Amino acid sequence: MLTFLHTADWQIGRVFSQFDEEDGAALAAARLDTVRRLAELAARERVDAVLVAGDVFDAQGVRDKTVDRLFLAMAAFPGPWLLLPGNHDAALVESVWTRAHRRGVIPPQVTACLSPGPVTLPGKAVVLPAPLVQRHTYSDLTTWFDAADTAPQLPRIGLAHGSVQGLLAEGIDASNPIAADRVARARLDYLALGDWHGTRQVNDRCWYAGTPETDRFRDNDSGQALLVTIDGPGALPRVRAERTGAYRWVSQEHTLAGPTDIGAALAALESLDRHDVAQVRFTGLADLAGHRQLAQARDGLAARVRGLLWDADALRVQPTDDDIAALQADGYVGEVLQQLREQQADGGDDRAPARDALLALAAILQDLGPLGAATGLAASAKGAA
Amino acid sequence: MTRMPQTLVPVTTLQLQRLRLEAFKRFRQPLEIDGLQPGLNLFAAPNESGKSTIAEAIRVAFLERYRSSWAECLRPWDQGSASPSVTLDFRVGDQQYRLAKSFLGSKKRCDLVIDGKALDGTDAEDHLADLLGYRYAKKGASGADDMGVPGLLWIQQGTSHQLADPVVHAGDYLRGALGQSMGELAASQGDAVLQQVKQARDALMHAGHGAPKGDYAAALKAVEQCAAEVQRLADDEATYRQEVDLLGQLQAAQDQDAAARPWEAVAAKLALAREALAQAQGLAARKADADQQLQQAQAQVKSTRAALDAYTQAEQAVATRQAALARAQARVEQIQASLAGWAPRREQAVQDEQAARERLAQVRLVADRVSKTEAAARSAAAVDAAQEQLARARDAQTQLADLQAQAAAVQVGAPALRQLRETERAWRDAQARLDAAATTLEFDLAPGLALMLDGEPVEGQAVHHLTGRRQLALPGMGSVDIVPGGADLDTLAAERARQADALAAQLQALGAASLAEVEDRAHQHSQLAGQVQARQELLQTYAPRGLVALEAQLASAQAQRRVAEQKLAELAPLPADLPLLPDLAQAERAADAARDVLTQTNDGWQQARQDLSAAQADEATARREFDAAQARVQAPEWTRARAEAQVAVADAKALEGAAQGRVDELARQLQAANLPLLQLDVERLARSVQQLQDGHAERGRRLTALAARLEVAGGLGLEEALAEARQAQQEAQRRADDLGRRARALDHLLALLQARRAALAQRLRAPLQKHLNHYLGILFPGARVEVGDDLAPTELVRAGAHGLESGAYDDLSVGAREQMGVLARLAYADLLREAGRPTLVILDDALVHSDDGRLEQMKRVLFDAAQRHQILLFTCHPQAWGDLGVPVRPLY
Repeated sequence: MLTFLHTADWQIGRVFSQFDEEDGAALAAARLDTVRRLAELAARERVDAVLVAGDVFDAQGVRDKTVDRLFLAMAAFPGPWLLLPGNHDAALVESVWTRAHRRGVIPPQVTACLSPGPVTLPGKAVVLPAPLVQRHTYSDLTTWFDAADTAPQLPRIGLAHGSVQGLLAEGIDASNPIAADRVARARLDYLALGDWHGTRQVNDRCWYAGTPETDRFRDNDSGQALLVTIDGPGALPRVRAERTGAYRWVSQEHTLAGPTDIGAALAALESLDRHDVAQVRFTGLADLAGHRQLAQARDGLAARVRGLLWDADALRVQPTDDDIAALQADGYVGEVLQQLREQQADGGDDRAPARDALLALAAILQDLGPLGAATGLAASAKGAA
Repeated sequence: MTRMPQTLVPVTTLQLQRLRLEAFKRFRQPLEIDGLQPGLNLFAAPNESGKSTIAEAIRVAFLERYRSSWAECLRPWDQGSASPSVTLDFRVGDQQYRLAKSFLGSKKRCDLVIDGKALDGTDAEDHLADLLGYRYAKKGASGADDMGVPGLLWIQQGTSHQLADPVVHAGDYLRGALGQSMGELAASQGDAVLQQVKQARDALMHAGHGAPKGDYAAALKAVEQCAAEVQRLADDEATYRQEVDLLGQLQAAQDQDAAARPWEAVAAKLALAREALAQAQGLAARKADADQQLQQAQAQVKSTRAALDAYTQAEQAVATRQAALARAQARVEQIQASLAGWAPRREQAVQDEQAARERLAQVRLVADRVSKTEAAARSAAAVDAAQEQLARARDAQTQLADLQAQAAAVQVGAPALRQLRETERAWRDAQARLDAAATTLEFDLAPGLALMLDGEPVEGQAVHHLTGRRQLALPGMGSVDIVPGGADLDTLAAERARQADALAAQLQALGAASLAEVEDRAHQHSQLAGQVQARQELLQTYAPRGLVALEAQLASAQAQRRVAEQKLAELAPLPADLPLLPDLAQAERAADAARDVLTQTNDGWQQARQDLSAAQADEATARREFDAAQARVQAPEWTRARAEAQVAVADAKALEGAAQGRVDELARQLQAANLPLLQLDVERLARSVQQLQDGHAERGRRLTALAARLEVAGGLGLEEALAEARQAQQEAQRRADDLGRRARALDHLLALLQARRAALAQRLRAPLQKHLNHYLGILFPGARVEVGDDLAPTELVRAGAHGLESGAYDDLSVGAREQMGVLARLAYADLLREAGRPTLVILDDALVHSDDGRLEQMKRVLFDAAQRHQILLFTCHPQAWGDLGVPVRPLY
C-alpha cells in the first residue's frame, strides 16, 4: 500500500503588494508556516512521500535566505520529498534549483526532479516527473510517461505541472499542455498535477492539489493538500483533502440603498476576523451617518483582519435633510452643501471631487460644531481688519 | 469676539429725553437739559462753553465702565473728591429707560431702570452694550475699536471726514444688521469653514497654479523614486533572465559541438587538399629545372654566334681601314695647295704697312711746328695785355693818393665842429642877455647935429646899449656920465667875454676865422671823400689782388713767351720737297688699317701650316691600321678557325630547341593543376579547422564566465527584491492618490465656497448701497457710490464737467469727505434702524469745511434723516443753522 501527500503551488517568496507592508509580510511568512504544517501532517500520517507538483518557488530570483527558510520548514518530515519545477521555478540551465544545489542547502531527504526520468521509491512506487525546463512550453512534457518502462509490481505515479487540455476554457490552456488522456495512455495509477490553485479532480486518477495557502480572492477550494492512498498497481486511489491554509480570502460586495442595508453590511463585516484576508466593495449611496459608520467599521476591520482592500469610491454620499440640519450649515456654506449634493446627483466630471468635497465639508462642520465659531462673514472680516 | 444676540427686541427708535450732569468736568454745578425732541436738536454755544462736554458725557455714560479708574479725568480740576455723574432718560421703542452712572470714589455705581425694572452694575452696562452695539474695553478706557455703532454714529469734533476706521470697528454690528435684513442668509460659521478649507487645501497645493506641495508633493516624489527603483530592478532582472537564456543556448550549442566534432570533417578535407598541393609543387620543381637547361642552351647559342661574328667583323675592318687611309691622303693634298696661296698675300701686306707708317711720321712733324708757332704768338699777346693793365692800375693809384691828401687837408672832426657850434650859440646867448640888461640910449638928433658918446659921434637916429659907464658929451654943454643900473650887469658882461674867448680859442685851434669858414671846410671834405671812394673802386677793378700781383703776372707772361720762342727756334727745318700731306687723323687711320691687314694675313698662313702637319700625322696612323687589318685576314690559320666557329653555332641551336620543348610541356601541365588555387584551398581549410576549434574553446570560456556571473547575480534575489520594490511603489502610489484626491476635493470645495461667499457679500451690501445712494442723490444728484467688502465707501461716481467721473473716496477733498462721512453715517443709521436697532446720531461741530451751497444741501439731508433718527447737533455758528426748522437751544 502506498500513501503520499500531493500538494503544489507553494509559491514561496511571493510578495503581496496590494496590501500594506505589514500585512504583505505576514502573508508571505504564512506560506512558510503552511509548509511547516504540511511537513507535520506528512509526519503524522506517516506517508511514504510528499509530491509537490510544481511552482515551489514564486520566482527564480528569490533570495537565498528565502530558499534556506523553505528547506528548514520541511524538517518535520524526514522524506522523501519530491519537488517538481513549474513554470515559476523552471529547471533552466541556471535556476533557483541549481543555486540551491550549488550552495548545498537541499537536504538529503529532498529530491528536486530537474530532468525527466523515473524516480523509484523503493518497494513503494515509481514516480514519473515532467519538470518544466523552460518558462513556457507548448509541447506536452508528459509524453515520455507513455513509453517509460517500470517495475510491474510498483504503482506508476505521474508528477506534472500545467493545463490539462480541454478542461479549461478554450484558449486558456495554450502553454504547458498536458494531454487529457495521459493517465490512460501512460497506464498511470495516479497523476499528481499542479498549476491550478484550487483543489480540483480531473478524473479518478488525476487531481490538481491546489495551493496549500490561498493567495487570491477568486480561487475556490484552495488552502488544502491531498492525502492519496493506493492499495497497489491498478487500484483506484483514495483521495482525501486536508485543510492546510491559515487564511480565508473573503470578498464582499455591498450595494447600499438605506440605513437597513448599512446595518446588514456592518453585520457582514463583523463576521470577519484575524483569519481573514478581506476585499470589500460598496456601491449605491449612503447618508453622512452611514458614511461615518462605514469609516469607523473600516478602521476596525483593518485592524482586525490580516489584509484589507476597501473600495468605497463608487458609494455616493447623499446627506439627508437631518444631516444638513445637524451640521447647522447655514448661509453660503449651506448653499455650497446643497450645490455639492446636486453635483453628486448629476454625475458628470465633478462627481468624484464633489463626493470627497462633501465629506470633507461635513467633517469640518462636525469638528467646528454648532457653537464652534462666530457669525460667518464676521470671522474673516475681523481677521482681515 | 462679541456675539450678536440671536434674538433682538423689535425696537424702532431711540429718543434721548433728558440729560443731567453733576461734577462733570467744567460743570461743577449740575447741568440739566430737558425736553429733547425726536428728530433734530440743535445746540449752539461759543467755543469752550461745554458743547463737547455734553457730547462726551453721553458717550461716557454708555461706553465707559462705571468702575473705570480712567474716569479720573472727568472730575472738575479743583474738586479732587467729587464723583462725576451722568443721568440720562431715554425711550427705546415702547420702553422707558433711566440710566444713572456715577464714577470714582465711594459713590461710583450704575443704575438702569427699564419700565420700572432695575438692573445695576455690570449687568446694566452689558445690557446697554448689547442694545446699542458696542463693547467694553477689557481694561481701562474704551478704545476706538471697542466703540462699535456709537463710535460710528456719534461724530466727535473734527472727525466727520474719517470714515474707514469707525466703519471697520462697527463692522460686526453693521453686518449683523445686514444679515438681519437679508433673513439671516449669512453663514454662522462660514468664514471659519472657508478658512479651514483653504488651509487644508493650501497645505497640499500651491495657492496660485495648484501645483502639488507639502505632503502631496512629497508623496508624488516618493512614487517617482519607487518607480525608478522598480525600473532599475526590472532592468537588472530582465538582464539576468536574458543571460540565463543565453547560457542555455550556449550550453546546448557547446554540447552539440562536443558530440558532433564538426572540425574533424574539415580536417579530412584539408589532408586531401594538402596532397594535391604536394603533387603540383613537384611539377613546378621539374619545370624550374627545364627552365634552367633552356637558359644554358640559349647562352651557348649566343656565345658561339658571337665568335663567328668576330671573324666576319675582321674581314669588314680591312675595307673600312682602306677607305680611311684614302680620305687622309686627300686631306694632306688639299692643305698643301692652300698653303701655297698664302705666301704672296703675306709679302704685299708687309710692304703696305711700311709705307703707311712713314707717311704718318711726316704728318706729325708738320703738325708740331704749326702748334709751337701759335703758342709763341699767344704768349707775346699775353705779355702786352699784362703791361697795359699794370699801367692803368698805377694811374688810378696816383689819383687816389692825391684825392686822399686833399680830403685830409679840409677835414674837421665831427666832435670839434659840434663843440664849436655850441660855443658860438652860447656866446650869442650871453650877448643877447647882456643887451637885454643894458641901458638903452635911443637918439633922435636933428639933422646935422652930433653928440659924442665916449668919444664917438652919434648922429641922427641911433640906439646904444650901455653896459658900462659912458660919457655922453653934449656939445656945448659939457658931458653926461651915464652909469647903467642892475646888479648883474657885470656878471653878464663877464659871461659874454668868457664865451667870446672860448670861441676865439676854438677857431684858432681849427685854423679858421669864423664858424662859417669851418662849416665850408666840412662840406668840402664830404665831397672829396666821395671822389676817394670812386677812385678806390676803379683801382679794385684793375688790380683786384693789388699792384704786386699784377707785376708778378707780367713777369710770368714774359717768361712763358721766352720758353715758346726758344722751342720754336729749336725745331728742325722742314724738308724742301714736302708733298701734299693728309691731315693727322686720316694718316693715323690708314696706318692702323695696314697693320690689321698684315696681322690677319700672318694668322692665316700660320693656321694652314699647322693643319698640314696634323693631316700628315692622321695619314700615317690610317696607314698603320690598314696594314695591321690586312695582316690579320691574310694569316694562314684564319680560314680553318672561321669554319669551326660556324659548326659550333649550328650545334648550340639544336640543343636550345630540345630544351624549349621540355619547358613548354611542363608549363602546360602546371597550368592544368592550378597551383595557387590549391594553396588557397589548403589555407582556407586549415583556418576553418582552427576556427571551429577556437570557437568551441571560446564558447567554453564564455560559458564558464557567464555561469560564474549568474551564480553571483542569482544570489541577489532580484525578483523578490523587485516584487518588494513594486509593493513599495504601490503603497506610495496609494498614498499619493489619496492625497491627490483630497487636494482636488478641497480645491473644488474652496472654489465653491469662495464663489458663494462673494455672491453673498455682493447681495449683503445692496441695502447699504441703497441708503447711501438715497442721501447722495440729495447732495450730488445722479451720483452713485460703491461699497467695499468692509462696507466702507470706496468709490464715488458723479456727474462732472466731462460726463460721469469716478474717484476714490480717499481722494476727495476734506470738505467732500466730511459731507460724505455724514451721509454715510446716516445711511448706516438707516440700515441699523431697518434691522430694528436703536439709533442716535450726534454731530459735534461737523461740516465746518462745507461751503454755503453744500451746507444747504446737507441741511436737507439732515432734515430728511431726522424724520427717522434723533439727531443732536452741536455748533458754534448758530446763524448758519437757523433754517433747520428747529429752535436753537443755548446751553445757558
